[in-house]
Amino acid sequence: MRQGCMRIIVCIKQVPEIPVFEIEGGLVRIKREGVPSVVNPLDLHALEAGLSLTRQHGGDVFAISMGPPPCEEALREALAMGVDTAILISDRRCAGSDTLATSYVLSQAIRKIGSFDLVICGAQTIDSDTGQVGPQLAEELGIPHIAYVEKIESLTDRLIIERVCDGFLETVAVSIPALITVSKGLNNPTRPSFGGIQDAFASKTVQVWDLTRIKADPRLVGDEGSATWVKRLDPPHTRKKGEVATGSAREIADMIYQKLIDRNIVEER
Amino acid sequence: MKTKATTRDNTRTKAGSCRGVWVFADHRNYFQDRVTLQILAKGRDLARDLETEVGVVVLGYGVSEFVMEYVAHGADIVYLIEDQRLAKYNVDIYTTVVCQLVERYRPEILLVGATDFGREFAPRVAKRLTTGLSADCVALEIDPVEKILLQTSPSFEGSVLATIVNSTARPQMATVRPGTFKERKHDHHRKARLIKPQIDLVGGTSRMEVLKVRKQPHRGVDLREAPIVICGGRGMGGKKGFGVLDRLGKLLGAEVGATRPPVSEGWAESDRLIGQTGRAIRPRLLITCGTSGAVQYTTGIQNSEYIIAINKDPDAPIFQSADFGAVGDAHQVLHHLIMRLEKETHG
Repeated sequence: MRQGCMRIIVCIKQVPEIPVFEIEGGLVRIKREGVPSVVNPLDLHALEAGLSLTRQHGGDVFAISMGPPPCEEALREALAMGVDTAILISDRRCAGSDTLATSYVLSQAIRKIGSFDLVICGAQTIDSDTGQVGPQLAEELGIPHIAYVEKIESLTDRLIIERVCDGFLETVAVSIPALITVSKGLNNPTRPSFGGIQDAFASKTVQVWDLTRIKADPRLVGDEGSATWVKRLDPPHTRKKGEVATGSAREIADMIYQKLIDRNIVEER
Repeated sequence: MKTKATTRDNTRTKAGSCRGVWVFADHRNYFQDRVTLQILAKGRDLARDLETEVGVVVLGYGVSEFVMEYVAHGADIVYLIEDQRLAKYNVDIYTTVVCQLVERYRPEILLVGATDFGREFAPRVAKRLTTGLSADCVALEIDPVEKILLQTSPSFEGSVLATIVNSTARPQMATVRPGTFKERKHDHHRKARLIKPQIDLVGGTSRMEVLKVRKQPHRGVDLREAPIVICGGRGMGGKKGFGVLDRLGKLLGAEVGATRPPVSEGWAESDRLIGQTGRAIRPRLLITCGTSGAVQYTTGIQNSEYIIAINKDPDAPIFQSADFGAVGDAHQVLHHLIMRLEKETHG
């Protein structure tokens, strides 16, 4: 990999800042209209990682995202942070895509971009929480992936990273091109500079591509291209609320002590 | 209710020709991490409803000791692949092996523990097999009519539960949160068939090399297996507050956990965090102190047998999740409780 020619692709997602639900016909629905959105928090770490690597080694960062037109906002934020190119893949037919379909769409966009050294994703989103798109995108692109990267040690002919996995601190080397998903501990994303924000709105543009542009087969996308679908949404399980006692600290402590006896945690004396 | 016919062509494994409920054996942190045993227990229920058998897939090197455990906990068939090249967990090689097994034996369902490894490994397997996967399931049932797997998966950090189905692609895959299901009693009379398939390990090469593995030091019992847990929230005020929790913990033989604010502030280590992805607990008793009851936290404590909550604020949402709630200053209440416990144990 020659100096200055590094190409890094960062996948980002725009997510609702706070989940808002509504009940419609006895069913829970996620409300999106009028709900403020943000760049998925871990994706900011992913963008920072890409920018940091190109600051070190030279090269370009591409930010891509799949979503409806409002997601352009998230890509503008990426431009404000300093990415070189921002691309939104937006097509009505993408609605209802599960991770299988989403990873396919993103891979087609990446194929259109061309060669790359690294794809970087946040480890998971705060809405779907699955953490699946990264590994599935890597599989679709036929490249290895490594998740939960906390430290990038070196990037030469191989990428060497450190990550924590199930209580094990692992140092892993992976061949390039590769995909990594990143954790919070990797870096501290820098806020966009005022100049960066100006740039993002004035001179840089977000490219918008549809499925035709990326030569995606519509049958592999959206509802049709998904293998899973959401049958229903329910509020979280709640246990029946128990008694709520008041009293002095000592009285409460005695009540709790009695509960410990009742539950056989402590022996009665 | 929306109905759906998927046209995604999964020619490799057509539904209807697939049999068996498989569980991937995640044995790396066994004996403390018992997620495989928990899923085997659920697997038995699912297999009964589908009138089929439970298979367990064991990859590794020098892992035959786990085989006995898995049989005693519910496996009918053990698929054992032992090779030096599988000694260290490696998502690249493991994906290759498991996909070959699935294509050869065609299970109907494949379940994987939602450990860190499971959550990066299962998606890769699902993609290679072009099948659906739901993450971090907190419930699994067989639909009595359609005989398909109903997968309950939390979204928005636990604010909503989605019931997900995989109509036609096979195997139906799900990762399952540790602590969701209860393992069965060890039954050493159970018998099972052992199969040692010949697998092409692609010449043993991988695009990934694990250079170094160090177990991170962690004190005491894994929170997820602790029978008694005391959890502190922002209301504990600082490291000193957590010192009080530690003292109480020693008196009760309890593990001390924390919600996200104390961990972010550095009052508690990140391995003490309860309630985020994969960190559900199922103790006999949870005493939760100075925690407001954010949904990300309460999702992770739902499986506790009995919850005692102490919070200064009578309107704190945590009281919705508690079997016994007390409005008060956690520091003062715990101070008195500790004194009482010390008095009673030392006469």
